[in-house]
Amino acid sequence: MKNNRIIMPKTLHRRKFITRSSAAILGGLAAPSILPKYAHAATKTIKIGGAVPLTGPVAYWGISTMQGFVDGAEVINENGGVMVNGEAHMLEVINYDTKGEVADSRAATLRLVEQDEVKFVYTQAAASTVGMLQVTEPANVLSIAACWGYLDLFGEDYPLHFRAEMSDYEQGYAYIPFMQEHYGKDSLKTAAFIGPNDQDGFDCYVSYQRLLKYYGIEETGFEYFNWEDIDFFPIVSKTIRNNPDFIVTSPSPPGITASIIKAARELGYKGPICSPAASETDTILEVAGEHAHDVVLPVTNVNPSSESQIAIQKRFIERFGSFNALSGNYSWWIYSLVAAIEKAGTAEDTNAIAEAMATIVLEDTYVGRVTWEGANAHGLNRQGVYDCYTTLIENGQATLADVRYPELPETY
Amino acid sequence: MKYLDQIARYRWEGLFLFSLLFPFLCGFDKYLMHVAITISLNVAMATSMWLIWTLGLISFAHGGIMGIGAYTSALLLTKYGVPMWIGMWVGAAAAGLFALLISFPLMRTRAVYFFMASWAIGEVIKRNFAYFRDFTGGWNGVFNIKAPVLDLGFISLDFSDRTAFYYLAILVVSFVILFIYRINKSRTGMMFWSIHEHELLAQHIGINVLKQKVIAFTVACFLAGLAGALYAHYQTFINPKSFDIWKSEFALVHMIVGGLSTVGGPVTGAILLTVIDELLRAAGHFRVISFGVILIGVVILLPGGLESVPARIRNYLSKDLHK
Amino acid sequence: MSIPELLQMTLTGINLGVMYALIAVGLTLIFGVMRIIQYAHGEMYMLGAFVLYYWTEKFAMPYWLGILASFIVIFALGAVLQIVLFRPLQGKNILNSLAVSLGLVFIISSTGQIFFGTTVKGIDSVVTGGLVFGGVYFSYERLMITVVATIIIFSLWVFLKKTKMGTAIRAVSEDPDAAALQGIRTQRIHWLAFGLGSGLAAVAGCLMGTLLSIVPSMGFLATIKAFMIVIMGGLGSVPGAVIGGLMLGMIDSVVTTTIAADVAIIVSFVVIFLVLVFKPTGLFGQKWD
Repeated sequence: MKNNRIIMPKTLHRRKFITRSSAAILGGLAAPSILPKYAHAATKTIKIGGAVPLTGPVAYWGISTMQGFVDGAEVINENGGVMVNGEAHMLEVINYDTKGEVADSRAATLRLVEQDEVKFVYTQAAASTVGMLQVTEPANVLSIAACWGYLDLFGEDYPLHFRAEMSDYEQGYAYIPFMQEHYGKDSLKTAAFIGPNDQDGFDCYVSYQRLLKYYGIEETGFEYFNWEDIDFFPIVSKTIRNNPDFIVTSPSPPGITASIIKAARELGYKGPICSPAASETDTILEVAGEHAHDVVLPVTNVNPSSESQIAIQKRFIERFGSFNALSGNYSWWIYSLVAAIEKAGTAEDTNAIAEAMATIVLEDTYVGRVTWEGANAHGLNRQGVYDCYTTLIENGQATLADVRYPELPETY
Repeated sequence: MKYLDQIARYRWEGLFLFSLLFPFLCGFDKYLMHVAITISLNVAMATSMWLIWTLGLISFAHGGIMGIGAYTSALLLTKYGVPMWIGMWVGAAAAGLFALLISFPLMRTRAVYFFMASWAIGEVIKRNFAYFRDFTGGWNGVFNIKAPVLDLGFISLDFSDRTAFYYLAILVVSFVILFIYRINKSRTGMMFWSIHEHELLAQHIGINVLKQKVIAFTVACFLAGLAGALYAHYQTFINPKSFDIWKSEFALVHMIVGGLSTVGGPVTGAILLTVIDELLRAAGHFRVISFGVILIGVVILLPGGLESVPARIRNYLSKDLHK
Repeated sequence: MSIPELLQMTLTGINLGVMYALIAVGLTLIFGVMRIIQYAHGEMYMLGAFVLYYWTEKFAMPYWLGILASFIVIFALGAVLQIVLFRPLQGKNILNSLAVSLGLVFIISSTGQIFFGTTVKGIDSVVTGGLVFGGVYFSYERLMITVVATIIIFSLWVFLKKTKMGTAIRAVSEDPDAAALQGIRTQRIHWLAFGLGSGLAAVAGCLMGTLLSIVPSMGFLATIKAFMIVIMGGLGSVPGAVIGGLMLGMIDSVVTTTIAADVAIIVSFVVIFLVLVFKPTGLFGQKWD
């Protein structure tokens, strides 16, 4: 080993500086996570665990979901907590980061279920859901997730799993009728699909095919993009070549949606473009600019209208510093769970709570009326279905164009 | 020297004893055993990457190689019912074979080019898992990779039980560490180090550099494949995203933070950093930042890595004595 | 495929290629001069884009001035990083620089996500619109970016070939000891080159920031592309970076349009691997030991 004592004096200052600053940084950063969590003393608590992606590619969704639960828990606690058999229970929300990876999600859920002993876990995005389910079902823990992929996962083998967010499939039963009314059925005879090259993308493509079949619309083609792609010109020009009447891109985050819109409009495409997953308008307007025209965004409510919606927006800004429509979409989950606990009269028997939750109907949430459907396919109503607030962007202006409860077919 | 070797031996024996007793010490806490199993797999990955490092090469194909072992074993079980006991060795062999084949073109490259080429290999492997959807399940992944049940007649061990799998993982990892340690101490190991120091000179002494590189790479990838197979049967679910660049990056970080001169380095690094990773799980972005700070801190302030700490302490103390 | 489609595909390929090349030239400069692995190059690209974002959106200053500002800021950042973090690693194995730059990636991208938020943002375009000629769409914005990027790369090449400073940089990258003997202050060249390389990445980020959306996690995507190009083209070679960039851009465009996007990225990696097999130091690279 080189004798570096000779070099020491010159580099001493730099080393000391680096040592001190890194120690300070590390200490300051580690403190909040290692210090004990605040626990409600003496009163009974119901713990809800979150195995959510707080970092990684889907951090945006994960953080929004978490905000919904943290805010909801505070509101409910302030109003006296959850009444179970006459006793008030306080809610405690524990969150662990899954980085958007399956293995980490499993680890996070293991910690929640085995160490923190929670009976309810929520999560976001396909990867985290898969990892979480491996643990929650065998452990009899109720789970709520937003997961558009892995359609076959969500079946009778998982009786305690609730899919709260409407996937593009359910949304289709709201936005397609809207588009047909707005643009005329005859001008929407063919469609094309652009989605990411992963499980979510494939499953959304399957949903999209089912929707098209139901509404009698023909496909002109489909394309998958890589998350690493920087430019969308090649994919979009290939899609446009077949002249689809409209394009569906799902699940594309706002940035990619905006890039696709921009590319399509520049290349001369005039048809409507629909993005079920974007759920916000700011980025699209910023990035696509003047090209943002005829953009259909289901489940996007950027201008809260009812009193409770405005209240949610205000609270989130106070609590978290900002509000995006997406967190509003998730804010109702915890209320549904709490209502189910109160209805079932127990905070322990998750099977009873699951049965109760399937019957819960909420009114006047950020997404309007919420029910659980899907008994035909899953044996129990476990798919969240709610009013679809569809925003339409025309000439750079976003307006709420349609609110309707999805017109689900009887076979649903 | 011998005195130091003795200390090292005591440390290893102590660690092994501790890991055997660990389930009892923690009261069979399932979550803690999960962390321990994760540590074991990380140790296997970090040490096998270290083996490649002893020749002076950094391979970023490690994530993909692990994936080959994992997918082989997983698909053998789910498609053909081959039990894990055979499957994991086949998986490791598949990874080793792939490494053997790819090393001939790969070893023509040096230093940074090798790094990039191995990165490319890792990426292509991962994407191939996704591309051949019908066979590998694509991005969907492979489900229900159950851990085996060992029926010995008088006793039946179900390895989906956390404690049982824990001991299995410890056993396999100990084997991996021992294997790497012995190679490193042997004449082959010394040849690796001499190639690391000065490749041209080693060649001139008569060492067949290409042959040694191929051997090291193949063996290391074999071990990584073994770790991958174990990983698959533990997680019961794998998909291509599990075997991306992050696996290689973490193995590298563990290796660097732990120290590069003996096999104890990656072991220490993997243990410490996995524990830190789990502790900071609630911290979101700060966790990643901490990793970055630790990494930079170690490289600049603690150039030998953590394993150089005992030596530094000894130096510091002996300096004082001589005053 | 029809002729217009072929032309569109080619045009897109060239456009992509030039953009990729701009990211890559900075990296190849850093590689060539200092022989270190700068894994955090993409983070400079990301930071450059965000500087422009704050410049134009929050302070409402002019666009072109913003690009200059971005270059200066990131140049300074690069120089500081080199002096503080990379200089102590001189002479040591490249593993150290890989480790430090990997650490930087963790720190910068996470800090970026904390400060800039995880939502995607956009920068307003300076020129918009385009014209259709012969069935092919020419976007003014893309044309402008291609032209500007080409000018920058060309200027860099002229700088390296003709000016005294540029020649000094080339000297250090060829043989640091001989350069030092000639009286060149190698320490100074190091931070200059690092700053310059990072600044170029920042400019690339600015140009592309208007075209695409920006988000704190976009750094790594740029790093991947930059590494692929630089390795293929050869470390330290600016022409290599340009050719590598064009090749990659064309592969992306052609394969995506004719087959599929997921195949395109596999093909890119395979091509790189093949190039390295036949030319282990890249197309134009120097030998490393």
